[in-house]
Amino acid sequence: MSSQQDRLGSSKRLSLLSTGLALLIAFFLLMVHQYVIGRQQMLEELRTEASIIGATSVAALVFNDAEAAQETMGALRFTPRITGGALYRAGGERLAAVGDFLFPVQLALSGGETLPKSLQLLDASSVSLWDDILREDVVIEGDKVGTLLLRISFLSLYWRMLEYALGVLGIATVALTLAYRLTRGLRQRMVLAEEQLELMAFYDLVTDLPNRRLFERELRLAVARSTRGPMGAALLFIDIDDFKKVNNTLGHAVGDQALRLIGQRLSSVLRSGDVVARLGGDEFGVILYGISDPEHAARVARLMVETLAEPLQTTPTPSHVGLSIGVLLLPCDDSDPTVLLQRADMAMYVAKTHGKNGFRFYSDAIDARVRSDLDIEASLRGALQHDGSGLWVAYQPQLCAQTRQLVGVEALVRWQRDDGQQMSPAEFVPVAEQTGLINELGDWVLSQVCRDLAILRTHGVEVPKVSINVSPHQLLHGCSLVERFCKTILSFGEPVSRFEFELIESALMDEDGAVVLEAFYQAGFSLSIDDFGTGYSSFGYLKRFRVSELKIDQSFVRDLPHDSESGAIVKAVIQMAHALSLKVVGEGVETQAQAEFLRIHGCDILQGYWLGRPISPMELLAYVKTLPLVE
Amino acid sequence: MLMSARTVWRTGLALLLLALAALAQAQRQALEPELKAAILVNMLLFVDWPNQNTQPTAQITVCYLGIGPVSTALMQLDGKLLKGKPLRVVRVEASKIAHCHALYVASFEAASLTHVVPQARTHGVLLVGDSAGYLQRGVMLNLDVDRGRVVFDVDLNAVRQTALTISSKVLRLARQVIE
Repeated sequence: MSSQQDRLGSSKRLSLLSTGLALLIAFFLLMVHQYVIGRQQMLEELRTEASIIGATSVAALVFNDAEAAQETMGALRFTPRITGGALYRAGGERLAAVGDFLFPVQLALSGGETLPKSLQLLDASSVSLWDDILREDVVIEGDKVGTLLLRISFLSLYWRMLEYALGVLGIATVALTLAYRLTRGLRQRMVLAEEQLELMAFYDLVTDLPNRRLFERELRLAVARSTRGPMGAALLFIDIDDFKKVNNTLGHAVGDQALRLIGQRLSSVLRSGDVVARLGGDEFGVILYGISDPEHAARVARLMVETLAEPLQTTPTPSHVGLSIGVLLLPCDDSDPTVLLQRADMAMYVAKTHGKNGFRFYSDAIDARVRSDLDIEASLRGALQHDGSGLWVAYQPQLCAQTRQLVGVEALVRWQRDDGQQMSPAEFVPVAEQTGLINELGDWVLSQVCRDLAILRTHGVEVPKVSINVSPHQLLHGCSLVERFCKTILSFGEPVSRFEFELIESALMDEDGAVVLEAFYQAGFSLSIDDFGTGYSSFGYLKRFRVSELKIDQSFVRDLPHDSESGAIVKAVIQMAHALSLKVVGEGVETQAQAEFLRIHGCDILQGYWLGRPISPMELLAYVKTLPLVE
Repeated sequence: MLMSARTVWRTGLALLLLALAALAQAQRQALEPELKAAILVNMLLFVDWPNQNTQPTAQITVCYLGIGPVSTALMQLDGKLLKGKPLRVVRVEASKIAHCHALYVASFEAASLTHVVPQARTHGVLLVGDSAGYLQRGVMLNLDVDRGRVVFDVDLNAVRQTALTISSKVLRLARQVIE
């Protein structure tokens, strides 16, 4: 900031200097002009005077009357510019003289305007600037009868010039003072405008907090101070959770209010030396000073999250947001503000993807993790752009508990990357969900399933039903999801009834998803609840969305049949489901005992390693042949 | 040496004035007639004749009646340039002075005054004398020696009656001006 002010100051000084110089040059030229004009004028006037004196002295000269000549020359006494004069007859003899100057007695009759040597010798001491000799011939009717010499002094000229100069300076001073006074209002406004500009350059207008530019400067300072000083610092990168929702549902005016209030709340948690800034959008940055250990920083981060637990008092409607905070401790091995912000951002990203409304410290692991996530995203995007190269679908058989017949398959996406490694969905699906690629992926899976069904058909296997997983993120896009699915299925000529879509319990909770689920039902698809029992189970929702199937989570199946609690739960779920006319699938069946338990207690369908692992379409073909024949 | 007439006469004048200056410096030297002649001639520089007069315009004519020291001195000045015109010094009869610009009447020619004065009045001739009492008898410009210096008196009335004009510049130098 100070260097900017310095720059402004020096530029002001320069402009003042140049103006001053211009004025000085103008003044100087004016003075020179005045001198030249003044001198010319003076000489003209003096010549006129000389000729008058000469004219009046003609008779005296002609008649050689020294007394009369002295009389006429006497008039010169009253002129301050003339310090002396002498009349010379035609022959060069001095007839009369007045004044202080010592005129020679004899004037050499040389032609031209140059001073006779005698006079030049006299004048050697004085410069033509101060005194001069004016020479005028006295003439009557064309005949020269004598010469008049006048000694003139330029002193009066210089006095006049001095008066003029002082006058000009005086006027200039008065004018400048007046102008200065009159423009005071203007200058004040200008200063204000400059301040405003500086403010705008460094401050965010919505929240009145420092903006990114200022924050980066402060960050540089913080790095320097934390490196030098005994105490460390911490950089917090804060992202507002679900801010988009506030903006979209309540409007941007409310959104701005919310930002301002968030800024205030964050500031309230900080100490006077700390810095909080709005980095843009819904991101804030904080620098904490005097951080002695990580726990200190964690405390502050926690405090921040807590202060925003209370709803924001926005008008007309209060709004509620959360914070995802990434924490980076300073000093660290890098000092570039951009890199530091990036790291804190990564930590924030992890915090966000791991439940939001919390904080994470940056670590190398996070770095690696974020980088790996970015890498996955890029590869997945590429794969999807290349018609899903590397991606394929595995199918896990679902068998009837009683007859062990194939009633359907669950489609599970698989990915073999360029390096030959298989990447598990647990790794890339979350990335797809965070980056929005899940929609493309989901669309591709459906298409692939249709293609595989066609292949199986050509080999004589007709799969009764295919279950495909749908991520809650896919529901965010609204009913266009269902439309796309319908289109795809239709384009492959598959019947709608063949398809079932599995959703996890929390997908039912979201109000925005409700309309999509309704659309699924309307289109003729069946809905199945995956991992039932592990999330928010609301029977009301089961009824509302006309779910047709429940899949008991494998965590309950695993402990069968020895664990009585699990057994009780499973039994209850089966009973309840049947009461609601829902089918039940037991997931993760790995032992015969589990299978037996489920079958005894009425579970309709079994799925698990015991019955079949997820396999490729070709392998599925082989598998089908091992099953008991359909009656 | 080829010099124009003008240059010659100019130089001549210059030399003359030089001589006169020397005389003025000396002042005690008795070159009275020359002085008087010089003054007479110089006086002509300051006199204006009306246009319709009978005098020739291409020259300045100075006349005298009889031979005398002053007229001899005047003769010396014949040919001198005055206001760009040559000076002619001629001897005339008292009855025929109409063509003279100026007429010198010596002290011994007092008898001619009665003839000359009316003529002068009519034809605009400047009457110059150097004798006592001439001024009262119609002479317009009378020269005299006063304390060793040659001075002159002017009868301005007579001058005016003659329709001549004498420049005030020279009147200032007169010892006496009668109006």
